[in-house]
Amino acid sequence: MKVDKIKLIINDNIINNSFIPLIITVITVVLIIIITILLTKKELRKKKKNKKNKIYIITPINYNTNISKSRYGCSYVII
Amino acid sequence: MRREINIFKSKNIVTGYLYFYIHFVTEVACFFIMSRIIGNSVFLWIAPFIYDALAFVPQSLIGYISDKYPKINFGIFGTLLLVIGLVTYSLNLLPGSFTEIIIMCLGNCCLHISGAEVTLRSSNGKLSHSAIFVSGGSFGVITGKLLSRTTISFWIVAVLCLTMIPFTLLAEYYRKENNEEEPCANFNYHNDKIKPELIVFLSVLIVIVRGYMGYGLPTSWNKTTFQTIMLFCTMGLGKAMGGILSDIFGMRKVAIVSMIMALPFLLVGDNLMIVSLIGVLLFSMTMSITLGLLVSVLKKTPGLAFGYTTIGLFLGTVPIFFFKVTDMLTNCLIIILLTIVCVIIASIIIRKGDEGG
Repeated sequence: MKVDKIKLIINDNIINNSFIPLIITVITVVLIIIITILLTKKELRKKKKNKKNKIYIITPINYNTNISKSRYGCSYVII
Repeated sequence: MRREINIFKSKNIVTGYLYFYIHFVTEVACFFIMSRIIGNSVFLWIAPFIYDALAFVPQSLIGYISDKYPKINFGIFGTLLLVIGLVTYSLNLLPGSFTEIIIMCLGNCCLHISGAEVTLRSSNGKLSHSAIFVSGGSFGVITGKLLSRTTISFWIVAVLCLTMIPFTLLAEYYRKENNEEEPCANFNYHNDKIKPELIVFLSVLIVIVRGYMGYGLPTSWNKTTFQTIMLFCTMGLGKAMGGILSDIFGMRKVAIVSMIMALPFLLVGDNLMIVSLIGVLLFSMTMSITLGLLVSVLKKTPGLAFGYTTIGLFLGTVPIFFFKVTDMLTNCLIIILLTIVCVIIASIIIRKGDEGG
């Protein structure tokens, strides 16, 4: 009987002090990792959008050449 | 970009030294309290596991918050949390066995993120600053462990933590000076042809592998306190050297050469301290390299990038809590295989002919 009591106390001690915090920690870790991945995706998507909207430097080319109008359809070339 | 040969003249290098001290004291406080708590055998592995999880993983979230709200001084916040953790543990004020550990973990997270933000933003694309900051941790870990064996009071460690405040305030000045929209624009170490998502994944994979290997290194020679001190100091030195040498010789060369060169020293040096320490020195160099790669992809959010390295470190250490390879030959084969994988990944994701900017 005494041995059983001791075992129970130890088990309660471990359950109360260790396993519940351990499970909470594991759940927290998984959640944080998922949120981090989602935040990263969001950041990288922003980066892609910014790349698409990038402002290019436009320089005028020679107006007299036919190439400029026929090939590009405008008087400017994007470099 | 011109390569800095003399790192002592590198712009804002002082931030690295400031956060070297802050990181050192942070780890002293955390490992001092951890080593005292682990004295209770019931928490032998659970306490370090919870500590690793809660000190490493939330850094990504705290880093993201710090990126978005730069006015919050996480350095001061972290210092106060450390002091609260130490005081409440010594006076036994809070209920639960892990409450103080959680407070200390959050303080640790805040200080790490503060260090990463300051050193990365002020480095102008260099790795030396963050490498010097990161290296302080290894010296702090061993000092904290050794102090916990003495009769030193918690109050002395708490006062030591308070000495971080002026250093944090001074470092914050450098952050404010470099508080641009894209402060890490000069970090261009990654291969442009590879998708950013894949670079993040592969960089974290290297960190995971290196984190795992860090605990599996054959160090049968490590039996005395002096030898343990030597091991931790060499790790710290290696971390700093990784960033400094990358700024001088280029990240690609340092990453590949250090990984390949470390292998024979680590395998042969199981019973030879000096040989093994050379291997550990070379092995530790990759820490700042992976950070540089992640920041190159996540330029606007250096805090989040730093958080990825700590998540990788935690994931790398998780298997250690559940199983350990005891057979020497199997251990050596795992190390060889993992090193080859890391070298291949590094050679693919690091830009050729990199000088940082």
